[in-house]
Amino acid sequence: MSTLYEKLGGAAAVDAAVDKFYRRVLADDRISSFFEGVDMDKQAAKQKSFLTMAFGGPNNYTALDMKTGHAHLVEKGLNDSHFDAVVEDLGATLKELGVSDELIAEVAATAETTREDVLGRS
Amino acid sequence: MPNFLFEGREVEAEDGESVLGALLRHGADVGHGCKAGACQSCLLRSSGAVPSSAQNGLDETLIERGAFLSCQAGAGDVCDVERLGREVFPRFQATLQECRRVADEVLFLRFDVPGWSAAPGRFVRMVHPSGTVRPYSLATPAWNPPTEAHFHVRLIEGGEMSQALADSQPGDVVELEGPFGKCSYRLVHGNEPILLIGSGTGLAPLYGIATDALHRGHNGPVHLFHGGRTSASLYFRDELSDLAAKYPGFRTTPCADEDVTGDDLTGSPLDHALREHPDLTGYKVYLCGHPMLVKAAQKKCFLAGANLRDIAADPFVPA
Repeated sequence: MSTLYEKLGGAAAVDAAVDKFYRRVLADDRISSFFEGVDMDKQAAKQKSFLTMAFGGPNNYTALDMKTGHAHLVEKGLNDSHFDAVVEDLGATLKELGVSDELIAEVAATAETTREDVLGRS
Repeated sequence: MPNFLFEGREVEAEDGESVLGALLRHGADVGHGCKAGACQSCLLRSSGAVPSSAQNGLDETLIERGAFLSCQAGAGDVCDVERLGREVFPRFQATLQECRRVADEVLFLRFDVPGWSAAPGRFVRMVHPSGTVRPYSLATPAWNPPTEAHFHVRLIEGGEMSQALADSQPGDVVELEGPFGKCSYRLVHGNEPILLIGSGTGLAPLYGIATDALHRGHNGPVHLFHGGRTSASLYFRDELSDLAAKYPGFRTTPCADEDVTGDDLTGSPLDHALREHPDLTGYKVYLCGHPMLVKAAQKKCFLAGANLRDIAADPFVPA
């Protein structure tokens, strides 16, 4: 029984996806304003941690990290529609990389587990 | 118990705990940010070995000095750690050989620095005998002796350091600390296109990097866009022409906002660069100069297809 992370190709898959995903998110008018003025290198590192988590890989995220890390964005109006946009961009990125719909659904489901924490409702 | 020493005191740690985790649990005042090995806020220094995974992405100078990311090192991986002190970085005596104006507001300086060696494009902290410290990028052409250090310094009205340097004479001594930064030529395949975009004295590291790439036989095209307020403020034209004459793969495009003369283009070097290179997939990109330009360029070049790890950005933040 291999894990989702292994099926996707592990760390190499994260590396292949991270720039494509971040580029897609930055170019997405629905959410790009949340990335204004951030340090791109640090942001890319966070994207990488997020992808590792969504791929079911080893990560040190805690619910509290998710909550505190996004609190300033929730104040700026981050809501369910923005969360949906990120999950959609993630799916489109994986599709571009040739990942099967079935695995994309699994990744989306993993990302979904963070929704309440990210939006500060937990 | 994977205990370790922190600045001489024993810290009791639990199995599986990171160095940072143990220190924070005991209330130690240690800077930290992402706890994910990205932000480098939690750097500490170890007198012994540290796992290389705890040094991912660190500057070579820092690695040489035993610095590591305390959020990425297990308490059991280290024995004796401390906060980074200023003494981490060695200082070198630099003796001025030459100082001349290359534009109204730009000084060219050449120092002799025994024992020094650094890749062009990286930067140093220059320490003046008066105690003033400023960061400057290395513009030394790759074919010069490694113990030479060249700088292009913007003269700032009332600027302590630049005025002191303008008044200096050959034989005067300053100290250099470093080198720092990741803005230098990294040979990967040697045939990918290189795009360099800079404003003002952002040319200093870009010129150094271009000479390094060409001197080491880089086969891909190297295109430099240099921007300034006026055509007259664009300096080093002869040096850039010489480079283009010597290396057919090198091109330079001067851009100015106003009082544009000759064949110079009007407008921002970033806009012209992206107009001429709309798809940056597979490019190596170097950006130096005004922070507004560098930040905008980093984003636009990334969106134009360059990978983030292939974009080296060095914003010149004023003192």
